Amino acid sequence: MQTLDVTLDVNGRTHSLQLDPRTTLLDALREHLGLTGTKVGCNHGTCGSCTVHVDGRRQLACLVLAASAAGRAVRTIEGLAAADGTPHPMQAAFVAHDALQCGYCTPGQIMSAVSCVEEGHARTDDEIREYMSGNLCRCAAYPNIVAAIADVARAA
Amino acid sequence: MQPFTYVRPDTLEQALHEAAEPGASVLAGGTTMVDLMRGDLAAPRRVVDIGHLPGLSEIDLSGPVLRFGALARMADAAEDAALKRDYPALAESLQLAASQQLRNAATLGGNLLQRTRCPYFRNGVSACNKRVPGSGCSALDGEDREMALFGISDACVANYPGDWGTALAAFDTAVEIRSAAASRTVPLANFHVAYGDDPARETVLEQGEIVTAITVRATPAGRGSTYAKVRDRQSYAYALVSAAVALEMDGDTVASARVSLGGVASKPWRSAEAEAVLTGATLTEAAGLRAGEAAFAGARPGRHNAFKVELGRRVVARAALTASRRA
Amino acid sequence: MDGGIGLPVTRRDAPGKVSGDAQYAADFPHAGCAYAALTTSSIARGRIVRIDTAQAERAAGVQMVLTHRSLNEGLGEETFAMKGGHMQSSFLPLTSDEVHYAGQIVSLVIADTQEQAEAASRLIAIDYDAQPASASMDDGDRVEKPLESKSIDVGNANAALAISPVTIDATYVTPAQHHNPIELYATSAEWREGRLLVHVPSQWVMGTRMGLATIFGIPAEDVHVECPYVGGGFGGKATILPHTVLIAMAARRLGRAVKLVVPREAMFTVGSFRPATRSRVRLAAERDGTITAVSHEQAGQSATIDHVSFAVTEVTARMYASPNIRVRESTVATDVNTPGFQRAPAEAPGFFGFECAVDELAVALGMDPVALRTKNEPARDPVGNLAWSSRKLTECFARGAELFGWSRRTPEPGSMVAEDGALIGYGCATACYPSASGPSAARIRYSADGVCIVSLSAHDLGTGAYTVMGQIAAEVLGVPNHLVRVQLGDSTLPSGIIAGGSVTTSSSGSAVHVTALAVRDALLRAAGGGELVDGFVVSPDGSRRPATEVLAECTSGFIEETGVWKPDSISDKQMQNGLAGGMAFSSALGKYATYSFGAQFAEVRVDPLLRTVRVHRMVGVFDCGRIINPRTARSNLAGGMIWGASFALLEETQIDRKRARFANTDLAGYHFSTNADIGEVVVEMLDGSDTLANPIGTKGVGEIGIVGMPAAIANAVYHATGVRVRKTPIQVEDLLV
Ligand SMILES: Cc1cc2nc3c(=O)[nH]c(=O)nc-3n(C[C@H](O)[C@H](O)[C@H](O)COP(=O)(O)OP(=O)(O)OC[C@H]3O[C@@H](n4cnc5c(N)ncnc54)[C@H](O)[C@@H]3O)c2cc1C
Ligand code: FES
Ligand code: FES
Repeated sequence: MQTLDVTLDVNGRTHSLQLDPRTTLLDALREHLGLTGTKVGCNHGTCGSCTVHVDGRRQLACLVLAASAAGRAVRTIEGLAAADGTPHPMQAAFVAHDALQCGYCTPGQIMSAVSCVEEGHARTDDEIREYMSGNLCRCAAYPNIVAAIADVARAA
Repeated sequence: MQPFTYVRPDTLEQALHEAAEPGASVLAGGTTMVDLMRGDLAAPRRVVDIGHLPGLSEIDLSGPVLRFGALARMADAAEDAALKRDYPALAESLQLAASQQLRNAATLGGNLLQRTRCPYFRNGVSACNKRVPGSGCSALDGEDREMALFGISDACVANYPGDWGTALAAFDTAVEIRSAAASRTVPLANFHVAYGDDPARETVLEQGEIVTAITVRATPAGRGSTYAKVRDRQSYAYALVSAAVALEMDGDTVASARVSLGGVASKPWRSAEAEAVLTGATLTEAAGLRAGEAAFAGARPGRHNAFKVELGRRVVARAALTASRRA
Repeated sequence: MDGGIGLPVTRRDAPGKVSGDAQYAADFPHAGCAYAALTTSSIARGRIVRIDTAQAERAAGVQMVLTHRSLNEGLGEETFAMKGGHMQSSFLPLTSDEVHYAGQIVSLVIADTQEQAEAASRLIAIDYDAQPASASMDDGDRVEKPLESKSIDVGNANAALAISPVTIDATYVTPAQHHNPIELYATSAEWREGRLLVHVPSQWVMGTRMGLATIFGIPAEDVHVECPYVGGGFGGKATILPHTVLIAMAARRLGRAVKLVVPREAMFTVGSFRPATRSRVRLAAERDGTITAVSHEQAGQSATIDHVSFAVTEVTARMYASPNIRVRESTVATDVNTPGFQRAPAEAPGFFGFECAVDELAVALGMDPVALRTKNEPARDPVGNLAWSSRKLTECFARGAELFGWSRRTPEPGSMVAEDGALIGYGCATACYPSASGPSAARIRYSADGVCIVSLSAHDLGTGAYTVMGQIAAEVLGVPNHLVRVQLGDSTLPSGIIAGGSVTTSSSGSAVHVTALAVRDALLRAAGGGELVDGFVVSPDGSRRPATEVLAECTSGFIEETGVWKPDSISDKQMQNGLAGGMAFSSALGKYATYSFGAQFAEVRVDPLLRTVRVHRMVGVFDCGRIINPRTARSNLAGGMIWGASFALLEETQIDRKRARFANTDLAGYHFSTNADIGEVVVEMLDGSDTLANPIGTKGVGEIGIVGMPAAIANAVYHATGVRVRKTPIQVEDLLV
């Protein structure tokens, strides 16, 4: 069986790992790097809870092989706050708008929301709803999620 | 996932060489491939990662033939301003597919090659001629609400789920293919094989071949086009029924029409029947519905999906009306 | 005071949840842990005649393969939660060669890595002797079994139906549904010197502890269940799922921690689900809208291996004043995994049919549906003639109609059209949920540094318990919000209550309340008398000193009390059992009839050509007693309403009747609402403490939000289209007429 030397750049830090080629980026983060802020809700691309940024774009970590992510800049929920620990404005807005209940989909929602604003897809509530539909929330915090994102988009 | 060797070639030539190895599969965005491997629905011994190969992600809309690099990302194409303006059906088909996260990873080539969402294929246990040739088709006497009405047989009634391929079928589209030894161009109409004919085979792609580009003959009908998609929920869902319509109008009269159907066939399905009804017609809702009726005249519904005939008739009408307003 | 009762205090657990720091069951590291993967049965009923594990056992990294042949541990007697135990089912997979339902666990592979375990699990070859099976209650061979004990008769409904001028007789069906929390089921288990540590998402850590202790024959204190956060429960994580037992067993055999994350597709069969229902509702009225008879007969899907019944008719029987009431319950056994609680288990499906029938009656009478409901508002419980502890349904409807703009409604179906041509439909329905409670304990430590720690093994599933438990203590002790800490979800803490039946705030909140009173009394004793006002001890002479000063004078530097609360109707023995991890609930029908109520409104928009439905907006006004935290309560109720929208239009676990198995077992096939499906959601809660319910005056919030929404939406769809759909989900094909 092949063992791959994979160098991952996560939240600005470089990690050298020896991985089974089957390891997904999601499992590399969670099981190998202990970065469990990125959540697993399906492993099939159907829920969005594993959303991370790869080279600045939101993607689903469960459908990316860790090996494919080598050499790319990966950003997770743990890398969102400022260096001094100040929460990212999106994190603060989620708290302020009660945009979460159980919190399990939340890291994925926030990573997706940050991209949603950066992409320019947060101009209206309906646009936010559509561009956030790849992140399921079973607790159904949707109205507050929309409010939090609209708030951040207005400020941006 | 069964064990495999992972390789990441630096050039297309190397990739073609690697892909020719027995048991090799290429990996582009991975959004279909990793999912299939997880369920052992694909078990390549060698995974050739081409996702990052240079020179295959350009979108060029300037010439008489539009060129979409096979590795262009769905999100980039969906948001291409010129594509949205000149070929809204193509942009919309991508925009209405999957989610932004998936569209960021998924490629235009990979999208054409996605596999059916039939639960009997996916669940890994039920009889399925696609997964285990000769084992039978569970959908025939099972849950078939999502199944196809065209291009099917008693061996397989699965549905081709792609939106982009469906929209492309309304245009003169071709697929450029390379292998280590040769290159060829296949019209889209001949690229996919209807599942009903040979469930295990879905395209004419041979081992070692890589799709390098998708080309579309430029047409003024592009501006008069739309992609209508009806799904159970508002977003992040596959089509129950979809239709692409591209029109050229002469006043209120349809000068030329192209119609393709999704969610109802085992491959991107062009409807010459609907095109014939529309061409020369004055476009009203009634004319649109007549075209829809013609489109579904040859449908072969199963036990729970007969409603797609009525729904499809209306989707074609809606798309035709929208397209005519743009043309 | 910034952290007391009634204030919209920010969720205490939110900062950890938005930063990724909050640890859910599968996030806890276990040094050197092995990984497990499941194999499940491809047939629905029969026997395993051969199971070949040789190839899997030889595969790279595999440590152990468990099947019914290798499982030979003597296990203690545990049983199904609805039979008094703690398990999701009375059947524990791998204990025999029998297969009772499709997707039953038939083997467990343990390997060094996740990838190895998964790959090896697919190498197990199994031959079955398959027997015919039925997973649908509609299959021809299924028999309906009446549950006579659930029958209610008041007057003579059949006679009244026969002579009344206006009657309705219709049958409504709802499908099987699955909880599908975003957090997958997961279990990590580790044995340390004979003691078991389990990380598992749980709505009932004390019950899980007690059940595992019984199964493994060890003292309850030797089982530690840790689960500070639950990634969505909705009832699915209330009981011990069989794989948790199997993982603990594997960990003991291997002498190594073992972790299992259940794949999404297996979630449909290794846990429970909401069973299908069929309701026949008959209503009769005078021409002026006075209801003369209510009859509701419900049949619910049950399992061959466990009898399960969610009797909604004891609630619907009490909705409207009627001299004649007749309700019946029955069940239909099917070859499926044992069904279980799912958000408003009885009420959500049962109110769909019942409240659609009330709408049909309004149409038949030519009467406004709100007016019909209000006209038949019962002054007392129409079945038992009990007084209501509180019932403000009429006020809910009045306020809801105002918020919604109900007066704009023109009654004729299809008569309201939006600018874009969409057909507009307005619909409404009543919601109701019994308010029960049970015994709970709590511990509070109030220290000289001003910090107040509230600890109990209750659960926050996103419901707000971390926040409200602290507010209840802060209210009594006058502690500022930033100095309140709350610990939950850990079986080593004083016994909280199961997070089910919307009981947490009423039960554990009451325990926190009485414990805070005990801390206050101890503090005042230490201060030599006086009163506690906003964190200051005010002595009889009027002098004020900070409570922290008094605490600093205590030798320990703090005051700590552990308190217990129980509802009056629960005996001391029931309380002891409850606190140890047993199920002990008061009934909603005691001295008073105690229910939460709500009036729910929906506006739908229907595409006139395609006939697709969109929920444009929803309004809910609720009477849930005192609201401890309007912010978290609102979110919870709004979430429930969105569940109701999913119930009405999307959710269905398709049953392949030929193969007796669930078909759409992934989140691409099992649809619930995305963000784009939901428009405006307006929630209001009426003021009002119900101290007849419990000392803090609360009734349940967690489940009522879903209850009336499916019917409100179906009624709105009728209003938009004139098509009466008597099933959920209402799909495009139902409206293509
Ligand atoms: C939850 C979910 C929802 C989705 N919803 C939609 C939807 O609504 N509409 C829709 O259209 N699609 C939908 N998709 C499908 C998605 O668009 C496809 O998975 C994606 O487009 C595939 O592209 P990829 O680059 O990721 O392909 P990969 O996964 O990398 O590859 C797919 C297949 O194509 C082969 N392949 C890829 N590129 C080439 C090439 N250049 N030459 C030869 N072979 C190649 C691979 O070997 C593999 O067999 C959804 C997917 C998911 C997971
Ligand atoms: S875990 Fe990746 S999308 Fe669900
Ligand atoms: S907050 Fe629970 S799933 Fe979104």
